[in-house]
Amino acid sequence: MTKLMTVAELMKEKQAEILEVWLEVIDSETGAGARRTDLLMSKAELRTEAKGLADALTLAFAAEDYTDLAAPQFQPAVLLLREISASRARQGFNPTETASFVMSLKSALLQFMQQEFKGDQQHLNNEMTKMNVIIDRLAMVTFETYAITREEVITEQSRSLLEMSTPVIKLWDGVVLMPLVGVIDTPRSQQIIASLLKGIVDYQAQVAVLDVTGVPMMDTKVAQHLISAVDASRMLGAEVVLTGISADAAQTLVRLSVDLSGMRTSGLLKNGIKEALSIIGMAITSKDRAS
Amino acid sequence: MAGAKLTTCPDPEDCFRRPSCLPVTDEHHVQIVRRHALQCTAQLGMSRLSSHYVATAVSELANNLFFHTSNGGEIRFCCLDKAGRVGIEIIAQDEGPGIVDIAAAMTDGFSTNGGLGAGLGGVRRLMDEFEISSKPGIGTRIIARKWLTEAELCCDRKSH
Ligand SMILES: Nc1ncnc2c1ncn2[C@@H]1O[C@H](COP(=O)(O)OP(=O)(O)O)[C@@H](O)[C@H]1O
Ligand SMILES: [Mg+2]
Repeated sequence: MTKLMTVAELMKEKQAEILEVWLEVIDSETGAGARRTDLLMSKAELRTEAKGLADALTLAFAAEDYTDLAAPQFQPAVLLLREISASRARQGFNPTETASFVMSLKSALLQFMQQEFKGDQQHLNNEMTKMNVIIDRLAMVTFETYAITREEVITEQSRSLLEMSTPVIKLWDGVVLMPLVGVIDTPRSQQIIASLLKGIVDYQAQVAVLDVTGVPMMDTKVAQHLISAVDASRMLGAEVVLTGISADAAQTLVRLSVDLSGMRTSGLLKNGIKEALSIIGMAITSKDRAS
Repeated sequence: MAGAKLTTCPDPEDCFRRPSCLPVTDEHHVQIVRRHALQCTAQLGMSRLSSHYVATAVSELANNLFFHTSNGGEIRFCCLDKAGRVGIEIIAQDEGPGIVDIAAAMTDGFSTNGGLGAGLGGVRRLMDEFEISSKPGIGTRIIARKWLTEAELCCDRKSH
């Protein structure tokens, strides 16, 4: 009896056929995943990825110790899978869809192995175990990369939200308005102060109205951040009028014995704007119909 | 390590019937525990202003866990139902550096890291009951309670 092939040799010899079956498996997977794969990427793209991975896996399957993903033979496959998973995470695939790409190779390979090794159950078992272990571990790599990439995406998104949510608006010559919406934590407060100071300089503002109507809670940290914002603005020669402190927040600040008396505060944004205009010597008056 | 043994909120819909314990190891956890506090006070039927007080107190305690310890800590929320009185209990606990002089730390304006120093005193004034125990090198535990008023008790109480 001739010596049977290993799964690595099988993969090498029948790569083209295996690739076709694998692509069919991916295609035939009935779940919404396969259909979404169609939507999110072209067949040609998928084929290129699968081909690249099949090459890398041929090398991986030949590794002496197939339990050690750190071995050099695994590196091309691991790197490629990281790349693929990262791009899928960014494209909006879900984790199952992402992992099923490499997992679906199992059933494709199995068909060939059963065919090729059918004479020797023991050999089939050995090679199957090896194949399972390798693919499972690689699937873990895809999961890990997927999770890391999604986290990056979320961080990026929240960073851009942060920038979006701190606009400085010119209300009048020398008067700017900064409506604050959402939680003010340390990174956010730095962002707020930076935008505010830039707005004051850009618009040559003498007064900035800081409206906190959209801030859910004022604790001592938030108060401290606001005090810093006022101090920094004053250094640039601009006065700050703080508006939009709710009745609940005002009573809470009293209990916290936070003293905002050094600041100009106004309950309503409307009154704050009035005060801001009066600082620059302007006033809103009703139109004199008689003249 | 404080972070490892912690459980997260089991079920946001029913976060209060069982005592829940949330980790504070990062600054954004402050918002999570603050929102959790509001869910709890809503379930109790606490008034808007009292709920605001409780949420602010929780935020102060959570900020202290983050800013005054290196590994953070945890905040436990319990529903109190004793002898016809209903309330919320908040326990903030850490294995941080501890507080050497508790009386000084409670004084408004005292801060060891450039804060406003009004957090601990503020929590005491926002809540009905306040207990603090701390051992340098061991950690700090702060228990704060707020009870429902008669008026809050007789209108809509969702839990129990
Ligand atoms: N969990 C804690 N662990 C260690 N020290 C703390 C803790 N909480 C508060 N402290 C100490 O008590 C001081 C006062 O706290 P607080 O009133 O909240 O003011 P702040 O946080 O602005 O400093 C802190 O500066 C700190 O030294
Ligand atoms: Mg504090």
